Amino acid sequence: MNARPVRLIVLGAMDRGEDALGPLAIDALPTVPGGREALALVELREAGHLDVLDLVDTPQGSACLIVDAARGLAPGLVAVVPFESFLAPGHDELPEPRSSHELPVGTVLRLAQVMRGTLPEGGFIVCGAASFGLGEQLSPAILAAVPELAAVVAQTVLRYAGPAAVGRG
Amino acid sequence: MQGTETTLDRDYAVRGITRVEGEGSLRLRVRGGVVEAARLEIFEAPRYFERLVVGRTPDEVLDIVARICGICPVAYQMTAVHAFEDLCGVVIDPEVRRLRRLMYCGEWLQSHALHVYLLHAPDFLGYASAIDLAQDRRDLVERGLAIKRMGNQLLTVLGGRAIHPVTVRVGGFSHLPSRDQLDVLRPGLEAALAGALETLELVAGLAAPTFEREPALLALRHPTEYPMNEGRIASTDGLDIDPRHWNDVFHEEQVPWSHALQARSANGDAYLLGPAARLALNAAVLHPIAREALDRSGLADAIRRNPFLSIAARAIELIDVCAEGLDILAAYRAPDAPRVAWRAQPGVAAWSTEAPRGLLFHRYTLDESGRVATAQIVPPTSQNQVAIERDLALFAPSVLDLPQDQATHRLEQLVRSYDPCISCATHFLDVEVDAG
Repeated sequence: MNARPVRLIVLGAMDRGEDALGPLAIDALPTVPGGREALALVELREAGHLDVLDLVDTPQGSACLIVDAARGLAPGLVAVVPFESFLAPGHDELPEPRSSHELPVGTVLRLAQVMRGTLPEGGFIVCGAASFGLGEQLSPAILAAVPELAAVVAQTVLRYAGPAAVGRG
Repeated sequence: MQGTETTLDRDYAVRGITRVEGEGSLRLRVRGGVVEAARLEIFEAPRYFERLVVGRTPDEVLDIVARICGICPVAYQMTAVHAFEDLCGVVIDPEVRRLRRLMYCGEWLQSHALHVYLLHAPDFLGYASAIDLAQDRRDLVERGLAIKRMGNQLLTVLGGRAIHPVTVRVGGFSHLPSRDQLDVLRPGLEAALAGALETLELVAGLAAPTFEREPALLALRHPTEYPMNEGRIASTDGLDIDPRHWNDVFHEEQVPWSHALQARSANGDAYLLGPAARLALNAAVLHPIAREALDRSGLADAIRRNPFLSIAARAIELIDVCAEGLDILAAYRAPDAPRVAWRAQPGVAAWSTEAPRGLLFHRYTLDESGRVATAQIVPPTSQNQVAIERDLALFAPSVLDLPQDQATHRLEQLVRSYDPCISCATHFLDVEVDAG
């Protein structure tokens, strides 16, 4: 039995303060339990912002996970939010992924849903952040959260890849 | 329908204009049937890029200014790299010049396809959003996404990634694509050209709101090619200046309702940038395929006068960049080296190029160590603000008899016609109409 393909989209920029959370977590992935296995399983895409094509072009049958810093969540707090939650009533209360520029996150998800027939299974793995200025430093609370974010990324990748992924590597 | 009294005094307000890049508002105040105030309020936080590049080397600046915008990073890189190369006497290989044009083609494809299909077309086709459009006319959104995808691929090959490319360097590129990498792009670009021609057929048949005026249109003008990286700053009212000399004719000023500086000509007049301006000044040098499509559409004059028809101007530019891109791919011969050696020197580096939304001006001073001492970056949206506000005031009387929601929608549609990029302008949009 093969593991299910997982597209892992990492959003953010290393030089824009706490927008660096996503890239830092991916750098830390090999150091956390299951991280190397997760890295070996995913199709990794790193980008400055979410492009609607990233989701539209996710192959049928693949899962998609998007790692990003987010507003609306306590700094350093990590959460996994399924895509469907952003389309459900009450989505205004959800953490707001930071890295969407062309189109709002909800629009990107609905477009992907319409164009693919269904949303890919998956969601956003977000970490609360507050400061995104170019050249700004990450706060101690945010830096301390990087290993946890990496660990959640590893666990979530392995979970979406399915039972065949567990124990690999 | 509103009664006579309420049509004479109306307030329109859109806080958070949708389907534009960034955050801004529109506020319109009408008293006695006269527009007292039309304001495009830009409240996205100032981003201080002009300060952030101080102390940096030219190559570092190229990477930093690309971060100003996720949609038009190539424009920022190209304007800066030409400014530095001009100051330092760098002569680039002609093949590098072609690849830079191809890179700009990729950015125009990304930006125009996004705007035509996902931001602007729903207004014309009677849909509230691109999502509703996709549900009813999946074929249209597929076509738009296919063109955008081609732009992404061009930038990935040439710039190292689809967003915020990293390969542009003073003197050339950090590395060049292989012949094989370029050849792979050809079938997709041929399909994008076919899609662009279909796009013009689509938008040429759309009913645009009636609104005509004769603005001063301003763009680069080049004698032999459609302007991207080079040309003189020209206008439909006779301006013709060197691309380094923007400050001789224009100035920026602060207004209380905008975090973006507004640009005006020396006499305080508004001017308009963008695809309609480029077409008005450069139709003769369109690629023959695009020129023929423009002639066949019969829209050349209407595009110049009616801002809602900017959607057609973008469609024609989509054709142009696809056709030129194919020519570049066919003619490309790899240069001996990706870049030429150069040496920084003190002085003023200034240049203008054509971002998807219009003319972008950069001016830097380099100190004795070759680092930036001062910087000025004038994006197209901040230059277009005054013209947008003027057009809103001119257009508003035609919607006063409409129900509030319809009038507000028309005003938003007008603002979307300019494809404002608020994030760029603050280095902007909510709409509020206040009719009293």
